[in-house]
Amino acid sequence: MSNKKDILIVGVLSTVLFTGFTAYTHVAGRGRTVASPQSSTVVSPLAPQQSTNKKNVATPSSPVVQNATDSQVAPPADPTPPPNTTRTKNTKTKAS
Amino acid sequence: MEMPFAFQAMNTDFLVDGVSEAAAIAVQERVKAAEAMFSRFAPDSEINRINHRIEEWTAVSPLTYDLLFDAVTAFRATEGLFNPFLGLAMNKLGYDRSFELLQKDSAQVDVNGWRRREAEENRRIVESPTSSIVPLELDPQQQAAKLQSGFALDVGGIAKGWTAQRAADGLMAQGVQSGLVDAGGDVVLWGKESKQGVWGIGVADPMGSDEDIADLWCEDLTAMATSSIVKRSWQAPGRGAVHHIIDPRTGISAQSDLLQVTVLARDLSVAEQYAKCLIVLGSVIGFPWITKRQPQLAYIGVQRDGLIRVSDNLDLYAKEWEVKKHVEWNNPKH
Repeated sequence: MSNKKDILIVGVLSTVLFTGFTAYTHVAGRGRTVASPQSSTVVSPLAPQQSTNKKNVATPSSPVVQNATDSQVAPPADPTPPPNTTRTKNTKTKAS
Repeated sequence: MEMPFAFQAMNTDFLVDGVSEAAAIAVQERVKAAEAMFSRFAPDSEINRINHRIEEWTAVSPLTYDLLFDAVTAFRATEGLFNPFLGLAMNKLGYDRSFELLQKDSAQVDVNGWRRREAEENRRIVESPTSSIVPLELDPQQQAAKLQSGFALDVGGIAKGWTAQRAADGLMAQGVQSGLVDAGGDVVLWGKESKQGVWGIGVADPMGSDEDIADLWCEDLTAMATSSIVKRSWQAPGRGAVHHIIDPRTGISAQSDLLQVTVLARDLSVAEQYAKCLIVLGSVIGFPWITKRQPQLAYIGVQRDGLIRVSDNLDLYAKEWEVKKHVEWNNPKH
């Protein structure tokens, strides 16, 4: 489970649903996925993951099933091993 | 290149990042000034002066007046669930000195016990739980406050986040394009992080493991506050293990099914207030409650059984995020 923490967001498969172009791209060197402003596509469902609620990029048309108040459904996971992300966390939120 | 700037205040560790050293020092000065005014344990703080002059008007600084005004506003908005008038209840549980001193004087709490306790939430359904009568009068002309008999101010549930937010607001007003203020784990950030474009924030495991339960990648104005029943807990004589989040309906430590809650908002003070409300209410009542009343707020809650609950609007605050579904504590640090 611990290894999954770093499974982020890269190489996400995209499916063009309406307008015929890929909406999600991986930003080289940053290890993150961004949404195109013209996006009318959704990320295609991938293999479910047991241990994480995971979502790559905000999208109103995400296939992730969520109820009215919260989500406990594992969203799609990336089927390809991601490269090491170079991002670092600046700090953490915690009780003090 | 700006380096993270750390200092201690309000009984916790502060971190200021992404701003110039001069700006970080300005934050430190603001926080230190606020600490002197708001502390419940400093005899000459303005909060204590009000507490010691029951039923009398006490002139306060504009800063303290603004804090009290916002605290009363939060009290009303949450129908008393966020309650800054529980100083006497806190004293009754033994929290009448700084937590370091309290820890020295009391037996250690087995924090894993918090996970095994039965949540009382489902036995006590209370929709509108507390009095809406505010026991504090504020005079805007005289910048003065008067507290009713039978109450004591304790602004510990708002002061830290409120002060950090004000400090961040001050920098933004001066044109500082991006930055981060971390007040002991309550975090406000704005703009783009200079090296990677987004600010990376972990959400700590309530049981203290090194592995975060969530990673959030944020930009723009985002505030997040985390409350936990585990962090500040102690053995109270005759009561056993207690913690510092008081349920205003009972006057004792909250007994819901939530170990820890993180709330995301645009204002750190608001995030701090509602994180405490959710700890008090628990998941069954609290999550629908906050969704109905404050649908723009997002949350990540950790239940006693390890299940992690996430609101469906994290995208409002995190450009990307990953949250565990469940946390297992096979080998907790505590």
